[in-house]
Amino acid sequence: MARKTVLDAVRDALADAVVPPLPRLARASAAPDRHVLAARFAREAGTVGTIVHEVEGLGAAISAVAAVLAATATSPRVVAWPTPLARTVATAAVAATPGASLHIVDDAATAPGRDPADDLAAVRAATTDVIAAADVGITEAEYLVADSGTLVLRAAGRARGVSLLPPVHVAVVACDRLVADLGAALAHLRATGARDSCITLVTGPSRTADIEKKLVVGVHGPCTLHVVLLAPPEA
Amino acid sequence: MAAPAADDFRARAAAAAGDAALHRKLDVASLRFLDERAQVFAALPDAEARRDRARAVKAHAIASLATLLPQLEQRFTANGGVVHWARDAAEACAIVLDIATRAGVRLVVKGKSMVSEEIALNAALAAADIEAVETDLGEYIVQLAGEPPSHIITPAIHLSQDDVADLFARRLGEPRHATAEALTAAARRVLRTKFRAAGMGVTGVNFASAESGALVVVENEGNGRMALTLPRIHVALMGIEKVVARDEDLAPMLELLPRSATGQSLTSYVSLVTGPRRPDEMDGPDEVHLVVLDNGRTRLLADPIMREALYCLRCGACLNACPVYRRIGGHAYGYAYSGPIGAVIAPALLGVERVADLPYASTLCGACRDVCPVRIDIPHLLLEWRARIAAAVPRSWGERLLVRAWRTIAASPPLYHVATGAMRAAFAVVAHVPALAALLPPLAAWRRGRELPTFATRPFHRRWRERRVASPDGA
Ligand code: SF4
Repeated sequence: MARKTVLDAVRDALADAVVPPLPRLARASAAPDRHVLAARFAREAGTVGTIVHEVEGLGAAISAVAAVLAATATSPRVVAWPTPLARTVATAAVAATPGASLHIVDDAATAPGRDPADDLAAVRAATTDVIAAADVGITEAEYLVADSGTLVLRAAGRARGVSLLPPVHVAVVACDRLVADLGAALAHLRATGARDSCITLVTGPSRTADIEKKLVVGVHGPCTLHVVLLAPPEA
Repeated sequence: MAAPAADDFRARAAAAAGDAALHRKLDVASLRFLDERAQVFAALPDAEARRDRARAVKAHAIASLATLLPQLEQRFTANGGVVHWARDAAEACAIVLDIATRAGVRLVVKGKSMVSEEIALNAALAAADIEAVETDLGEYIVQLAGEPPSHIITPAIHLSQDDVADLFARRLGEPRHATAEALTAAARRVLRTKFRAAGMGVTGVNFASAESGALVVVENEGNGRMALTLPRIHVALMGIEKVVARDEDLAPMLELLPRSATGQSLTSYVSLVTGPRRPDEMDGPDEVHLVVLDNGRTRLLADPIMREALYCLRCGACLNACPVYRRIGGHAYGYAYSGPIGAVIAPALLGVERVADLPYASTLCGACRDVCPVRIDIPHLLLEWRARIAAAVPRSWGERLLVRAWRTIAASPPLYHVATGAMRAAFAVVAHVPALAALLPPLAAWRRGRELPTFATRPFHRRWRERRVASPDGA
């Protein structure tokens, strides 16, 4: 009823309207070279307060993350995505950090203290409890957008809360995931046929300027954002 | 904010115009916004071409709404979401209320949504004994203060840090004279427990793509992500004008909205929501609802001149740029949408007879049009409202005579010179004997809050002639 009324009103209102052509959108010509993109990403991400670690080789990535863990808390509680790179780096970095503990959020069934008779909602609430109590969340970005210093995060097979609830967020990403601009990232995503319920673009730590336009970093989301940008070791 | 009372605009504006403390607060924030906006646009390559492109995206989308809306509905439904249609505010509130009561929701966390202010959702929820908590810091502050927001982007722009510290001391038991950091930390603490306890999250929608059915939510604090991730139900509120045709159209819009709104290249967070949690996802809502609202927008749509007001991205730049807004603030407008764009859309959404003063709350300086990312010609639209309002009132013979006389004088240089000479003489007398101004009632009204200008001793046209005589090449 309301649907018909609204849509009829829209149709009537536009009866004489001419639809102008869709604009041609600017597309980055040839994708610039990886080093150029990495430098641009680091510069843009740096201006919004993201801490970028450019490292060569997996070992260096693990050391970088271990250093972040050690600097965050004495016995940091860590949650991580189950994606291959995040899992590998998180596992090794936690092993290298005295007192650190790791929970890989890979399946609701692994939530600690779960009784198999529990209903799914309770299991999920328990998982969110673990994520919310963590000091550090480790994720893996699908793409990095150089022009705006942005991480593109997927949801499939993952818990969104890992990049949102802990006060420190560390994203690990291989530098072949760098793209020039947002348009390119969205086009790539569409080409993969991703069916995630939510794609999240993250550009810097959470922030506000609602009081006298003063910038305060760390409102509801993470206060600190690290990106570990992983280049293959130079041969 | 309940039913908008925009009708006593003059009284509210006059009160605010005398409030020097308010001016200071508005100037501090808006001028900084404008400054940062100017810097980030100066650094953006081809900024003007990008604005043209963004306008073209919206122009195409608004003209194609009849096909894009059903397409969005179809895609969003195929993705597992539920679409609801609302003709007006009451219907939209009833839809949200129905979803909440059916699921037994007692607590709702809200991301920033201007539509929610427009339909007065909080009052509707409160009437049903459902607690609604604003979670954007600025919205949370004004909710604690029991006030409506006074700016599209910075809801608490009319409050200073000390005002907020006093408020938090009273309402949350925080120490007095707290810093902005401490106040923000207090809000984070209080609201974390709300996010975890809420049964429903309500957000606005900045853009929607008909192609994929994705809803785009733009924010900086992470409260929007919380609201659309943690509660079991996510309800997104959207005006019909938010849909664009393609996913790739989102990029040019996302490029301009944060730059215009807050001087950022991109906000901290942008969520592209396509539906409820998939089976392999470990969190996210089980239900996602989209409420598509008309509430007078099809009246704007049916009006070929006013239609372009629907291109608005709600970036707030025109508020910051407006010298009138910076003197009276958002509350004076008496409506969720204030400033220049509020003065354009309120007459259509609320009925022009209720807010007939708003189109006059402008100097027509054009600053709003200059900063608008989609180049909405706001001064032109305000003039159009004025013309329509004026046309509806029969002119008095005195006014008609005055206009006719002016037309004759302005068209004849000799008459014009005589008339301005007489004016100059009259103003010189009034300047010496100010009491005389009170004798002329229209002049007295005009002088309230204004200084009488002093005329130059020698008029421009004479100086111009002398210059031309002195240097015959006209340089
Ligand atoms: S009219 Fe233009 S400047 Fe004003 S809020 Fe809308 S998009 Fe921004």
